[in-house]
Amino acid sequence: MIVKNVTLLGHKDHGKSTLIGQMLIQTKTVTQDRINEAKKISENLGRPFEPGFILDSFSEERENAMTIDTTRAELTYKGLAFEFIDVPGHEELIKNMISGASYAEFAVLLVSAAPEEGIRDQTKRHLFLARMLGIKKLIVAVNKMDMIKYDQEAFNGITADLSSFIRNIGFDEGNATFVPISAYSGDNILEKSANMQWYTGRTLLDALYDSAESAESNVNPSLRVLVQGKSFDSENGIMGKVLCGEVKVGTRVVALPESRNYTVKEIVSQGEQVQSAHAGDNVDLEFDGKVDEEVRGSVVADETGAPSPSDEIIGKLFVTKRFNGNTLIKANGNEMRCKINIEQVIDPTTGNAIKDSKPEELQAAIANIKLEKKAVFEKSEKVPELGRFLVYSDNEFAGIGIVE
Amino acid sequence: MVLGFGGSDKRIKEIAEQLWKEPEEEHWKEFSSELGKSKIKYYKVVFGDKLSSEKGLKDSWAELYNDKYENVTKVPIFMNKGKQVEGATYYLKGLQVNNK
Amino acid sequence: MIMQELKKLENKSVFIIREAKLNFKNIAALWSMGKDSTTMLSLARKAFKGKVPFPVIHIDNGIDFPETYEFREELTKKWNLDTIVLKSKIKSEMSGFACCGENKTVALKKFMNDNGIDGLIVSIRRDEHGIRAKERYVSPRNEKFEWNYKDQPAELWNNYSSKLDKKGHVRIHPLLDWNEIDIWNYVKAEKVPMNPLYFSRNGYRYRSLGCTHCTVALKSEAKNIDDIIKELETTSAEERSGRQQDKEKEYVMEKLRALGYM
Repeated sequence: MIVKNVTLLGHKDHGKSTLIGQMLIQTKTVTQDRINEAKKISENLGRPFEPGFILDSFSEERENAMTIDTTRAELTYKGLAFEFIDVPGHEELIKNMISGASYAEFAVLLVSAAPEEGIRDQTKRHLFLARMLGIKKLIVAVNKMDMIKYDQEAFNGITADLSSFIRNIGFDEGNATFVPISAYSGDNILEKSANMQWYTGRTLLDALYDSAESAESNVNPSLRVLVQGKSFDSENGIMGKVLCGEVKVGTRVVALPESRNYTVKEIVSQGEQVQSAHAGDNVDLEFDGKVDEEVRGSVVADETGAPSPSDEIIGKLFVTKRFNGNTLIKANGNEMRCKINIEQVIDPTTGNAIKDSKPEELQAAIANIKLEKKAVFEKSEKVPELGRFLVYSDNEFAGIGIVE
Repeated sequence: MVLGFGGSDKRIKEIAEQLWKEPEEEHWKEFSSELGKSKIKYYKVVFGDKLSSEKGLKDSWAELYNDKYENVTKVPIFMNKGKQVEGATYYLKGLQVNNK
Repeated sequence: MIMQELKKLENKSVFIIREAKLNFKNIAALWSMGKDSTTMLSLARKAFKGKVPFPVIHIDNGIDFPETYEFREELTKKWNLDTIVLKSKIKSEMSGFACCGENKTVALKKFMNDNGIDGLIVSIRRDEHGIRAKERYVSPRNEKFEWNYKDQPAELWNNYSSKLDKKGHVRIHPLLDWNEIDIWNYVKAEKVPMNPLYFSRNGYRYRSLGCTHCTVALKSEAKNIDDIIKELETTSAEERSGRQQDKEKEYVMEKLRALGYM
């Protein structure tokens, strides 16, 4: 079974762990023993039963009622396996959220409909990030409907507000589904809730199932092989991974940025000699000529339609720590010093440009980045793997970027 | 292969006796080569006490059984290696755990 | 369907194993002769044209199963492995399950320091224990083998972390995405040699392997890989994770401690 990765986004108190716990209970993924254990923990802490305690987690998390780092939980629904990645909502832990979301294929955004909660800056920031990370399918679960007497007007209000924001940051609205739920009492999770007769759409799990079924896969026909290093047993060989396209014995390719042209003599794909290899395969490529000493981070492409290496890129950045002093970027095994010239600062809670000259923590920016040497980058929508990078400032992780 | 008449089992019993008195590495090696010629096929490790110390290791043993699951003898599961005391189940190599 | 998913898992693991070898100076792997670390070796052979290009370490307290020792020697020969046996002692000052706990870490630390190992491949799976959900594919440890789970480096887009300081090292977890049934499906598909203790005889088999002292056999009629897969499919995830098995649980905790998790 293919496991579908689902990232849970949203503000810290909007019920992510509760939702995962509830889904695990309703899909009967966990045994009664485990539920009883969670009940006991709730009792010991003097609280009503909290389905979120079903997740394996450190006691520290339970005591602080928050998720410290990425938590994973798997369940099967209608024959599809979903792995939920619960990322922390706390702002100072956004770095960890980025790690979690980077593995996901689509996202569930939790928004609390409870009074005084609603759409928060963090909700929007998470959405902005999700968009940058390349997540295309989105399910918005409007949670805690039980706390507002299952009010349709409130649900419609949140839907309208978020829809306009989603449009503003470039998400295709048609790829967003809104579901009113209560993670705590279990409404519209697996079965249609009798408390919300006015809602005619799908339940959360059905919406997930449909999104998973229709999730498109990236089919870029151009060949790109990310080079991890030289072969151990040949002067003419490299080890790498096919990112997209197909590599065939006998074809002409070019290694970039060093711009060396070769004919592919031999392909070994995960231990087996083959005539061709495809996206996802780890390969050993044997060429008709020597390869350079330093090939880590190079890219092998078709001779025709190969990208142009450049020492300058235009990137959209999300800043997790104010840039200070020396900056460098890391991408696919490459590490390069760089100079970042900010062209425009963007407020990720609106998607709009603001007047500041430097992005603060948790702000976004468009920047012109000068690299110390030429490297291969492409637009992230074209070849995602070659269109994204990590930013370090004074040796500390400071943000992420995509090539626009 | 065993030539029969339980001759090898007798030898195994003798070395086992010796191992209880002198669990030296050389005797273990001899035991191991003799094991291959014997009818012994299964073992079961028994821990005398909770294994939290060298003493716990010395109080433990392995029961040895033939192919009919009949108990033949028992041996310690440690050896003296110079001044060190080490576990010695390596020398039971070739046997299968008796799950009965 | 199963093959497609296994292929995906294999692709990712092979990529990580290659990254480990090509990104760090001097790596080694832990090999317990169990199903996970043996599967990892099978993946490493795929990554490097049939030859595992790093030493594999067995931390031996001297009371492993005889079958395990035999398996170690057979596979070392068959796959031409650079197997390194580190003796760990059973000392009197230790308490509890000291035979595979702290003592194993002592032996490992010494070896890593003496040999300048900066990356250690550990074949943990995400479904083994809750703590694993917090792990990264590449996870830094400091000089004392400590793991700071609260402040972990960002890990995304094929960029993995590096060492924290000169004296620390990184743990590399190429099997983090696998669960128990994936391992068995893979063992079946790829004919990975397996320790015979996993297969039922006289109504018992071992589901995970430690030494003779801390491992218990489970009631099972699963005599071959197909039976094991069937058994795993029909037991719930909870039973699989060994929660009902106190002894098993203790073993897992101790294993974690041994690996420097605690």
